[in-house]
Amino acid sequence: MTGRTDSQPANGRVLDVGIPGVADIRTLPDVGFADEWESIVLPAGMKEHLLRTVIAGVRLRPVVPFPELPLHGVLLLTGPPGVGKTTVARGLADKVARTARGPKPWTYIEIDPHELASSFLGRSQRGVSQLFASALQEHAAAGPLIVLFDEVETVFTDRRALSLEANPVDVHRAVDAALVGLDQLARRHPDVLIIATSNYADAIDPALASRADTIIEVPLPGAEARRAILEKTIAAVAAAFPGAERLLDPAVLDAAAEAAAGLDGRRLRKAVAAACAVSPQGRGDPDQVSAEDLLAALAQMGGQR
Amino acid sequence: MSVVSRTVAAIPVRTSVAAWQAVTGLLAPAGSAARGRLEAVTNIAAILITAEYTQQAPIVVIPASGPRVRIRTSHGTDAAETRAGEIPLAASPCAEPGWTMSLPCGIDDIEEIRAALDRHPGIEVRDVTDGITVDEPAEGPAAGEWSIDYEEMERP
Repeated sequence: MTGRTDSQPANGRVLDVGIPGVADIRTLPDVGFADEWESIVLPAGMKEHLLRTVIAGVRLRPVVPFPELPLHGVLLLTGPPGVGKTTVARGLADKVARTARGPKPWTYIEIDPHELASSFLGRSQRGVSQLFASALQEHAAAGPLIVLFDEVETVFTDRRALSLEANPVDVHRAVDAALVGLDQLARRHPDVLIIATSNYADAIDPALASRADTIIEVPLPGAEARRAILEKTIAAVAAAFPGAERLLDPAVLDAAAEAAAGLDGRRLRKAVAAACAVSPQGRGDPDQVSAEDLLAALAQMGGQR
Repeated sequence: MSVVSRTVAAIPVRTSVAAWQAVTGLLAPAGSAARGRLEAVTNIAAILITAEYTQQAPIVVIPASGPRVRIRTSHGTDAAETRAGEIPLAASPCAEPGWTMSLPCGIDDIEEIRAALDRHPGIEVRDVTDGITVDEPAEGPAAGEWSIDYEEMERP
C-alpha cells in the first residue's frame, strides 16, 4: 500500500504510519510520554485538574446518553507558543492510559493537520473525511483511543474569517467534514479522547470550540515555574557536565527566574544552552558556564521576545 | 462498527498478482502464518481479479474477532485514483487464527475455482451474485468498563 511498511504489529495492531494526516501512532502507556509528563512544569494543581477532567469524561461518556450530556471527548489546550501544550497533551495521554485501564490498551494517534490541509489542493475535504471515517473510526472500534490534534486551527479554521475568493470552497468543506467526523466519532465511540492544541484560539472555528468539553489555557510560566524549569534543565546539563552545578545555587536560580519573566518554557530551556556559549573564555564548554553567563543569556532571550 | 471496507487498485495500476499482494498486505502481517496461507492462493485470486469478479463483489474476510472486512478491486481509470487513496486497516483481521475468507467468482468458473481451493481450508468461493451469511461475532466488553487506578492518579 502507499507509503506503508509491513511493521511488526504492536499488541496485535499494525503500525500504519502510512495514513495521510497521521504523524504518529503507538500503544499507550509509553515511557517517553511519561517522562514528558514528569518534565513539564505547570501552575500548581493544573496537571491534577487536567487528569481529573479527562477521567471524569472517561467515566461519564459511556454510560450517560449523549443527548442528555453531550460530551464530545474534546479537550482544547490554548496558549502562546512554547508553553508546552503538545508536551502536556502527550504526557496527559500517557497518564490517562495508566490511570484508566480497560480490557484493551489505549492507542495514541497524533494528527499532522498540515498534511491534511495542504498536501493536495482540492483534496482537503477528502483527506479529512478519510481520516475520520476510516483511520480514526476503525481504531476507535478496536479499542480506546486518544487523538492529539496539534495546531488544530489548521483544519478547524474559523469559516467566518475565510473568503471564498481567497480560499477554495474545498477549505470550507474540509472544516464541515471535520466537524461531521468529530460528531460521529463522539457519538459512536465514547472511549475516544481528542486533545486539541492551538496557539491561536481566535482562529478556531466556533463550532469546534463549542464542541470542546473543556478549554484550558496553558499560561506562560510564573516565577516559581520558571525557577523549576531552569532547575530541571540545569540539573540535566549538570548530570553530563558537573561544572554546570554552580548554576543550581539557590541564589542563582532565584535571580535567573526573576530575570526570565515573560519567557516561555521552551525559551527558558534554550537559555541554559545559550549560556554555555556566552563567554569567549568558556569556548562552548558547559563545564565552564557561570551564573553571569546564564543571566546574560536570559537577558538576551528577553530582548528577542 | 461491524464492517470495514477498502478498495485496492488493480489493473492497469497493478498486475493481478500485485493487486492480490496488496490485499494480503492489508490483511496479515508480513511473515505471519496467515500471510503464508493467503500467498498460497495467489494464482487463484489473480484469476478472479483479472476476471474483475472482485470489482463486482467484495472479497470478504471474517476475522476471529473484530469487524468484518470487505475488499474490492478497482480497474481501469478508477484504479489510478484508488491507488492514491489507499490506506491500511487499523488492525490485521487475519492476525488471529480462526479467520475465514470468501472470494467472489462468476458461475462459469466457480466449480473449477472451488476445486482449486479444496486444499486451502478457510478460504471459500461464492457466486458473485450471492451474498454471504455470517454469524455476528459476540460483542466485546462494553465501553466504559474501566478500572481507575487512584494510586496512579495521585502520583505526580
